[in-house]
Amino acid sequence: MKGTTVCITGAGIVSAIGFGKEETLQALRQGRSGIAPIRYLETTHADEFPSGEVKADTPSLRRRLGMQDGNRTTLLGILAIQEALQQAGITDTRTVSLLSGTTVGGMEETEQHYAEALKHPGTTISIRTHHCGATTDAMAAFFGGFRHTATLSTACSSAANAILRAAEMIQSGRTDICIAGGSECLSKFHLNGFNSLMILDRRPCRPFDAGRAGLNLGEGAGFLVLESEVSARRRKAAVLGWLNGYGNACDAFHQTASSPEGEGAFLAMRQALEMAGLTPADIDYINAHGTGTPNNDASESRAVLRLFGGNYPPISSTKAFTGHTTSASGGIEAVICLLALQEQFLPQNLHFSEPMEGGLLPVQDQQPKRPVRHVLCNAFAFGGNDTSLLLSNQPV
Amino acid sequence: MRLLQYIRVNSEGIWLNGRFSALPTGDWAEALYRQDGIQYPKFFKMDHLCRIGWMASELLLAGENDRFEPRTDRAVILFNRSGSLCNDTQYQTTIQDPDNYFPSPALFVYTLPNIVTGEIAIRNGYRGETSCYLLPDFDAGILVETSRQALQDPGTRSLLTGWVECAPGQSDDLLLCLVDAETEENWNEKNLLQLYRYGHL
Repeated sequence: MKGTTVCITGAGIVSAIGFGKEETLQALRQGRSGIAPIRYLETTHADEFPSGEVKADTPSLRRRLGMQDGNRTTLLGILAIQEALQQAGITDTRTVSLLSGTTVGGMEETEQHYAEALKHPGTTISIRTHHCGATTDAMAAFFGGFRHTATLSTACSSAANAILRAAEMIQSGRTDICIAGGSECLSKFHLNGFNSLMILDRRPCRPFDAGRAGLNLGEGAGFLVLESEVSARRRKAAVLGWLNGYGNACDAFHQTASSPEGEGAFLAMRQALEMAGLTPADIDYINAHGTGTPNNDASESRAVLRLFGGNYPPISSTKAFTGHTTSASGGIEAVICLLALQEQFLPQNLHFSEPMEGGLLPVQDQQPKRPVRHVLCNAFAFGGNDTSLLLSNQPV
Repeated sequence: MRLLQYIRVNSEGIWLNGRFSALPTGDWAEALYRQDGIQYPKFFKMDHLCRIGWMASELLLAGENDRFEPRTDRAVILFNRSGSLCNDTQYQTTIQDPDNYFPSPALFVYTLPNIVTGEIAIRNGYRGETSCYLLPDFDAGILVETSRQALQDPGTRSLLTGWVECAPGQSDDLLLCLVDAETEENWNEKNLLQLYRYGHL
């Protein structure tokens, strides 16, 4: 990567498979999925669509943080940010920028009050915390404020784009330290919306499998502390990994479907490699977007085969563990990639039994055949907004 | 950075590169679509935000050579205040009544404000960066700074950027610009503010 080297000095995660990196790692190593019948979101579809809920109700998340209020997206975000800042040894956030991706924002809380409010004309429901920016501001307030905050809302690539944007800010010299990622809770709005698109599986999802029938939604948050190498050295912070490249491309095909040739995915991955000055043969693992929908997995497989050929690196989707955490997925999966680099293992692709035609054979064996040095993390979104991040355990 | 083309649309009219024309009555985007004889049936599936952003980009790009050649070097970076609220409100009507509950997939896909960047990219074969930012208000400084940063990517040579704002009960408010990386420093906060206020430089 030209110019400033961007390194990672902290990481935080919360998802259906646990609170924090330790629990997440254990679940990944033990092959324990967090997909289950819906327990916390109030919906008539609770037993119909298995989902990856964070295993705690909202009041207990508040208690965990000693807070009186706060919506679920905010609380999940705070938990992940707290872990990341702690690891990076940052106590004063006034010189740090916060970039958070979300699309649901405070919608889930609004849903709880909306019907009631409509019955009582004249009363105004509080929608102060409804919009996406409000959840970022509430997260920022918890830590006493940041130098700069921004919210990115590009659907399922939001968190990945927040990380990309943070790297650009560091490289352009606008800031030394950014905490970037995303947070998203389950809401009736997007559960029903995805159902209307008929892309939810009624069984646990099976990414890259010939019999895959859709995705399971999930929720959670994942954040990275990104920092210029100079700043990390000055603070004597331990460097956990490097963000050596990234790419964003538009698939320019359809509002919600991916192109048959996976053009956007192909271009995003290729850009990330070019920026890092690496070749396809240098990549040791790909954490796929791999939602489990027939369309995404076919398109992404095609993109990988076009870029890497038949000798493609180990690839897996971890969405059968966490569910598709939509806007947070890029953050959650970037943290999972970092764990893979640190612990030298390959997260496995659960529920795979039969390859699709022209498809990929995803990771079944956690033991890598060669050192895991450079990994790609994919996040693709409605609107054809495709992002790939290149994380490494060494600079290039 | 160089400003190549611009279009301003508000309740008073349309300024295309400074040339004024009155706003057609009713749905101005649809009126212009029909008037210009454009053949792109997907237009009618779009929500209001996409229609106005898409139509403004049509007017802006109409004269460009090799316009539909797929390219990766052009970004689409748009800003607004109200996200996809026009469409969100319509979608809400399909899920409002428990006894008449039919979430519309056609409306659901437009409950994301960044879809407008995708619609423009699909039409023109752009495979570069697409982003959509929400701001409290039009902010020339942030627009200029963000486009400057986008052009730091060596793969990005030009961008379609600007403000595409609509909300229920409010007139549409757009300023769309085509900018490239050439050194002619007419792409700055002062000029952008001038364009937003007066529609011409």
